[in-house]
Amino acid sequence: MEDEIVLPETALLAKQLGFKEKSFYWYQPRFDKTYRTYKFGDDHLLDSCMEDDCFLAPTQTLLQRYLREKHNKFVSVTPVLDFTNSKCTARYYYPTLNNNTIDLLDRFKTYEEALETGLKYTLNLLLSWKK
Amino acid sequence: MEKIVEQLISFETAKLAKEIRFNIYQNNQYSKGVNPTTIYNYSLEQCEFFRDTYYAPIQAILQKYIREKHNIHVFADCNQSGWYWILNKTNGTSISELDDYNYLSSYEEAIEIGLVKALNIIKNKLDLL
Repeated sequence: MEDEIVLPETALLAKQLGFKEKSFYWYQPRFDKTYRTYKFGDDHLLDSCMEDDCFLAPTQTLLQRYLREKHNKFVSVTPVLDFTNSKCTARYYYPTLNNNTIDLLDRFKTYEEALETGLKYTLNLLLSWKK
Repeated sequence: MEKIVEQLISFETAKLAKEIRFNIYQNNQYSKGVNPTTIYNYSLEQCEFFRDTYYAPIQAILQKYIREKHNIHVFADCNQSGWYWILNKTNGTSISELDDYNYLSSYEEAIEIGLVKALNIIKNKLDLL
């Protein structure tokens, strides 16, 4: 059981926002537009090759804490009752922001999917304010 | 500037986690020694040999374990008074939240108390079996 690493798209947004916290992984783009994941310290030669197009791959929890402490934005995931299939299912929804709750009414099957969406949404929001 | 890191659970919480059979190997452990707040980095084999070690996962891992194995979602929220913890079942129905109006000064403190409350609920359930 491990803490989920954010997807490359989310990690890239975090880099654009200036995320530089201690992460154990990093992404490197490949020619086929996919990304390869590396763990810091597995190979010091590779770590030293981390070029401009590479970027840190934080866990969801670390990025969540970074947004909370550095940008005062709280991304929260809450389970909701869902009767759409005429039964209760465990699903999660939306980020809430400090003093400014935004309900994204999307429903997700897992906590991790919901959190990823919340993080991505918040990063995009912060980047749009930065411009 | 101090780097942001993920929060490990406390020694007391780790002891409770062991009681509800949280037994997933973690790189960080506490031990019953002189100073229980010291973090050790024993291997799995060493942990099995020294039976008085307690795994010290980050809060998010224990939250995930409780959510996936016991269907309790521990989370925190805040208002103008501070941070507070909430326990829900994973189907969205409420179990309990902030029973004493003791608001906390940080998210991590609120989550830690929420985890302890959830672990106690699970422990009582296991004791009844």
